[in-house]
Amino acid sequence: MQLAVLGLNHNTAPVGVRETLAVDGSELAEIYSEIMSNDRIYEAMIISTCNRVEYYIVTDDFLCNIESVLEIVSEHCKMDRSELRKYTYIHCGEDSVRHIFRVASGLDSLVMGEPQIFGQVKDSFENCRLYGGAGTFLKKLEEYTIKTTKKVRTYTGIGENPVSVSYAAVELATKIFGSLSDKHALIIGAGEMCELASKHLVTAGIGGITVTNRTFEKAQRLAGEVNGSAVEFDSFKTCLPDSDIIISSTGATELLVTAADVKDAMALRKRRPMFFIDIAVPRDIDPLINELENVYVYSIDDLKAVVDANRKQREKEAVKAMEYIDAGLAMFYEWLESMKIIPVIKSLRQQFEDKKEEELKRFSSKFKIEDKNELAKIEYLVTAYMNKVLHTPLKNLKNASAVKGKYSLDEALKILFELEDMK
Amino acid sequence: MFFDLSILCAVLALLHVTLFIFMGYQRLASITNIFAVLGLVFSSAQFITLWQTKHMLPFGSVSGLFLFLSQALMLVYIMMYIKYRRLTLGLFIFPLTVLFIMIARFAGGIPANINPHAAGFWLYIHLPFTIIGTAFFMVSTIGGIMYFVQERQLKNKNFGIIFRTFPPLDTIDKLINTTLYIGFYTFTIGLLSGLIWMMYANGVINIYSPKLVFAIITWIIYSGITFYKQIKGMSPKDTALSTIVGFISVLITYVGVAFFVMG
Repeated sequence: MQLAVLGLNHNTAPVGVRETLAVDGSELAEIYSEIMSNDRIYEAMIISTCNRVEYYIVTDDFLCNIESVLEIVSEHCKMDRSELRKYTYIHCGEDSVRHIFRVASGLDSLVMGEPQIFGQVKDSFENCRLYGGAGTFLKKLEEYTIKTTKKVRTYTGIGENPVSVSYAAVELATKIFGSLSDKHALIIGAGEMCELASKHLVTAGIGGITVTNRTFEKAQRLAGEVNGSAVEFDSFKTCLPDSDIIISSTGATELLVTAADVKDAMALRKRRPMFFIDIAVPRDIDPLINELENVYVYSIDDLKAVVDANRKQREKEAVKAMEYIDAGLAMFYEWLESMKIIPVIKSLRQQFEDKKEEELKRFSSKFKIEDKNELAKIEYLVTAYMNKVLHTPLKNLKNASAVKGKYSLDEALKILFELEDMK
Repeated sequence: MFFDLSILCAVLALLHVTLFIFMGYQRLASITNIFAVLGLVFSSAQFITLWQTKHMLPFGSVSGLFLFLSQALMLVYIMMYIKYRRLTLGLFIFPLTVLFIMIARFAGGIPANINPHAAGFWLYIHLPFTIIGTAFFMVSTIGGIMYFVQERQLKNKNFGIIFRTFPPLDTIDKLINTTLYIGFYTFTIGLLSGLIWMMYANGVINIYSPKLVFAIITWIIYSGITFYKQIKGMSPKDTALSTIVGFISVLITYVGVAFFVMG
């Protein structure tokens, strides 16, 4: 049995194709049942997010069976198979297991290291159990995927260093102020960027937010969304002394905050640090303010430089993450190897059971034992003896099955029964 | 044996913190702290053994003083780590710990015999408190330097390894304040007990003693900083600068008096 995956993602398919192939929650049951109707597909799982659609199958002949999945997909999205092939990739065996570990860890995401994909993969495993696609293989794969992803996220910095401008701005604020719980932010403007930054600030636990905008109603609306207060645009400078973080993104053509304004504010706030984030083009905040002591001004270009540096850092962390993924892969295959011995163990046990039944019948007829209680006692004795005899070799057989070694028969017996040399 | 083990632990802690900063493996952080704690345990065991066998503390020798200073630095690091969870501090503290412990080693290690002039209740209060106070001042100065470095990174928009691994400015400022205040109170106890010890030992307080004069100057500088902070308030940058100025006076007290005034 091996795992194979047929999929497409943001690297292989344009958004239009991804949209067509996306699997809605309501369609899952039908697609799962279609895939599982193939006798040679033992287990299956579907991952469908905005950036990827992937079909995992557990099969013994991935070439034939992945074709059947391709057919189901092409029927489902009404796209020609040859057309579909252009956008899809196929992995099998170790590559497919490595692929799912990479996907769950965020290494294969559009924004490398983003954490949401881990939750989406967990949900997909849950759906696969719900719709009857999961068996021993996928259940174990889920366990190892979760374990490996947690290690990657804990022991590497793959999820650190933000790679979006608004989040990078908030992260920079924490580099100055540490905790934001006792800090106040002033948001100048109520556009999309300001809204995003405000929401990131709220998530980071900001103490309070004041919003100002030329259209006061818009300021009030944003303030309401982030549990803040709104202030008239003409009087926002009175808020400067109490504001630690100032984020500005307006369409103003002239500077809204000058060095003189900040000098006055700094005197009132006893020169406690201030952080200005100017996302506007043309700029709202005078760049000369950065020359003032304890004041830091970041423009949109500075933030982009932060994002670029962070992206490079994440790429470095991805190399480290691959070490944990390879370790997880090795452990998963160790388990898989140990599973190969299960049919042998089952057959050995069955053979012992059959012999036991046979001998019990022979014994009862030979000694004419008809009392059922008497027979039950004898059966109990034989079963207990059989279990005791089998326990050590079966345990050792299971443990040693992942170790690929060649033994002579006498060596194998010694290992299985833990025999000691007799003098 | 404990002495050598504490050297080994300090070196290993330094090695692991350096690897952590440059390689970023989180596991190295816990290993660093294990070595730091072990280093402190071993050097404390050295002092306890000395007290049990010879009923003395090794303050009569340069090596003993440096050994205690390295131990005090390790103690301050552990305390500050528990409070602020910042391993970067170790990158600055451990080299000093290793340096001081090596000086102690090359200055003859633990003295074999008790120096009768370097024993007594008040001296055993004076020296540990002064040294621990000095260790706190050292760490506050390290914080001051870190503040300036990180502040430059933020101003110049350099987003390299230092920027990522150094703590936020606010955390550095809090660390400076904590070490500054604890250092000041500890140093004050050390200074007062030193005066009492001097009175018992000489029968009189010699106010012209260069060591005392410089120690009082140091105390005045630090008390000036702490009182100004309390009453008027000080910006984080000025606080960082004041720790560096304060520590220069500590250096003059120790190095200046030892090498230039005393001859």
